[in-house]
Parts: sequence; C-alpha cells; structure tokens
Amino acid sequence: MTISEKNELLDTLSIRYNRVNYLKILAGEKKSSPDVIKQIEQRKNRLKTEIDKLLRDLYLNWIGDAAQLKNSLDSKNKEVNQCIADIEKDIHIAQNIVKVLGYVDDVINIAAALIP
Amino acid sequence: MSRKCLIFTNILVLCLFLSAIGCASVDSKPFVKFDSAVREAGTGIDSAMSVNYDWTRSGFIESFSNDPSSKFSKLIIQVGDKYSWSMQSPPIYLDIKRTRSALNELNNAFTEYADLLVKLSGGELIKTDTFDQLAKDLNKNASDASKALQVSATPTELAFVSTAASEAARLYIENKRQGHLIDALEKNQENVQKYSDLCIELIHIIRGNIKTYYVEKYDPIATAWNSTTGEKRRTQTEAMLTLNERFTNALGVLQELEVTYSAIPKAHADLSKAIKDNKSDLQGIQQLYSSGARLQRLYSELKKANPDKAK
Repeated sequence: MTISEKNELLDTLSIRYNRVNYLKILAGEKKSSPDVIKQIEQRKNRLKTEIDKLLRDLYLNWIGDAAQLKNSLDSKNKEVNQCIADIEKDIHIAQNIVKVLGYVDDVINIAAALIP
Repeated sequence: MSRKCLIFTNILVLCLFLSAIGCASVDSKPFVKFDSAVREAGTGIDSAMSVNYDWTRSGFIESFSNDPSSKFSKLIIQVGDKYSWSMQSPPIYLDIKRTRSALNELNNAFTEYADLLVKLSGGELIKTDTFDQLAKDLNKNASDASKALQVSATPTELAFVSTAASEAARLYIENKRQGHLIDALEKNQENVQKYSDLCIELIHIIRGNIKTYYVEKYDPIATAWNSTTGEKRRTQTEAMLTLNERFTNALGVLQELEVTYSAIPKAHADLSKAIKDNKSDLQGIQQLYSSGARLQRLYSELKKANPDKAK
C-alpha cells in the first residue's frame, strides 16, 4: 500500500469514526437500549485502535523519509555555499589584480625615472 | 605606438564587454518572495503540528482516563540502558512529537537552501560599489603609468578603459553567478518536488489525526452536557463552539498549507526563468507568495484560538 493510499484510508477511517461517535450520541438522545450503545462503543474502540496503528505507521515512515531528504538537502546546501565562496574568491582576485597592477605601475614609474 | 597600444586595449576590453553584455544582474526579488513564502509555510505547518500534538495528547488523557479497562501500568516508562527508555504501548502523541522534531530539521534544511538562493542572487554578493572602486583604482594606476611612460592618452580615454575593464570583471563574475544559480536550481528541482510531496503527505496525516481526535475532544463535553440541565449547559455549549472554531480553523490552515506546498515546485522552477528573463511571467512565484500571505492570516487566527499551544 502506498503512502497516499494509506492517507486515503486514514481519511475514510476518520470519517467513519466521527459517524460512529455521532451515532452513539444520537442513540443516547433517542434513549436507545444500553446494549445498542455498548455495541456502537465497541465498534468505535476497534476503529480507534486501527486508526492509531495506521497513524503510527504513517508517522514513522514519514520520519524516515524526512531524514533521507534532509541529508540530501544538506549536501546540496554545502554545494551552494561553495558556489558563494567561489564568487567571493573571484571578487577578491579581481581586487588583488588591481593591487598588483598598482605595484607594477610603481615599478614602471621607478624604471621610467631611471631611463635617461 | 603607445597610443595604438591603448586603442588596441580599448577595443579588446570593449569586445569582452560586448561579448558579455546581455548578462544583466539577477533580480533577487523573486528569490526573496520564494524565501518568504517558504518560511510562512514552515511556520504554518509547525502551528498545525502543535495543535495536532495538543489535541492528541489531551484526547489520549480523556479516553485513557474514562476507559474502565485502562491500566495504570500502561503509563509507566520502562527504564533501559544509559539514556534509553520504552513504554509498553506508547501513546500516539509521542510519535507526533518525534515527527515535529523531524519536520523542524527538514524545514531548517529547506529554509537554509532558500536563504542561500537569496544570498547567491542578491546584490550583497556582487556589490556595485566594489566594482566602482576597482574602476577608480584602475584609472589611477593607468593614469600614473601613462604619465610615467609619457603615453598621450586623455583622462576620458583612460577612464573608459578602467570602467570597461572593471565592468568586464563584474560581468564575468555575474555570468559565473548566474551559472551557479541555474545549476543549483536544476540540481535541486527533484529535492524540491520531494519536499513538497512529503509536506503534503504530512498535511494529510495531520488532517486524519485531527479529524479523529476531534471526537476525543468533544466526547467529554457531550458527557458533561448530558449530566447537567438548563443554564448549567451554557459552559458546555461555549466549550463546544470554541472547539468547533479551533477544528475548522485547523482544517482551514491545513487546506491552505496544501495549496502553498503544491505551489512550491512550480515557483522554484520559475526562479530559473527569472534569471534568464527579468520580465518573464512568474505566475508560480506569485501564487506561492499569495498563498503564503493567506496562510499567515489563517495561522494567526489559529494561534489566537489556541494561544498557549500553537507557538
């Protein structure tokens, strides 16, 4: 059974659970026999046990899938961080080139002064 | 000869400039909108999870306490080795607590990704000021060198070379930035789709959970109602109406969350379009952003209705 099928089942069971409880309240309001109310109550409890089992299964599966995806996102985030670092490095390189050009110009100035 | 050299350099730099032209700066606004909507979605799903935890826990307390077959031993923790522990039949709210913690970690990783996209696309990374300063420094160096070498170049010609060179450097880096952004967006599209699917799955689980535990929440109110009459029923009526408001608010948040999370993959794909064409129609991002704004209003109402829990 796929996760989405399990979720559809959960939705159906939760609707049934609400209907069964509504029926129990109606039976009480219409002064139905205690036996009838007891039978409805038993069905309601069985349904609740099944819903809790299904919920537990869904939550546990979800936690496993989320952990896997989180690891994948973490590794991609490292790559993006590296890209940002690369660009920052490029900007520093450009700034350093200009600095070096400045030094070269100083040397040219000195050399030019020495040339008769 | 020196003047020819200078003209040659001018043309070379101009060629570089022209080859890179068309590589305009990235507009970071769609990335900021994406980031903001992702954050709203994260806060919204956490608020829904918080209400779910509260309802399931109090629902468990009600049903366990009222069930004549309940045994106190079922509430006792079995202490294990070192930090380990277990329970014979752990209540479902403990699984919700673990899921909420896993959700926070997943959301942190996804928000970090959206933040990184903003940083990679933003003006702070490639500042215009930096390149203006580069042009000024280059201009100063070039004019010093031209004086020393007695090159007959006018200040305007020198300034043009410096500006073109710094612009070429900026465009080179800008081009590289856009390449990195497109690469990151393409490589992550599958993860973004998985994230969206996983969050929608969780929304459906919470929906089923809340619908089930609505019964657990109103059953004690119904019992109290039946045991009283007349004016004394006012408290139960009030309690039931408040519960109904919380229930419908929670369903409203979940419904809008589904819209928001469904819109994330298309909005993410639209970010690539935004890089390639500043004027392209970014419907996906707009839909996501609008849904995020609606969500903010809805979960604020949910918080008001559940002030101590939906934090």
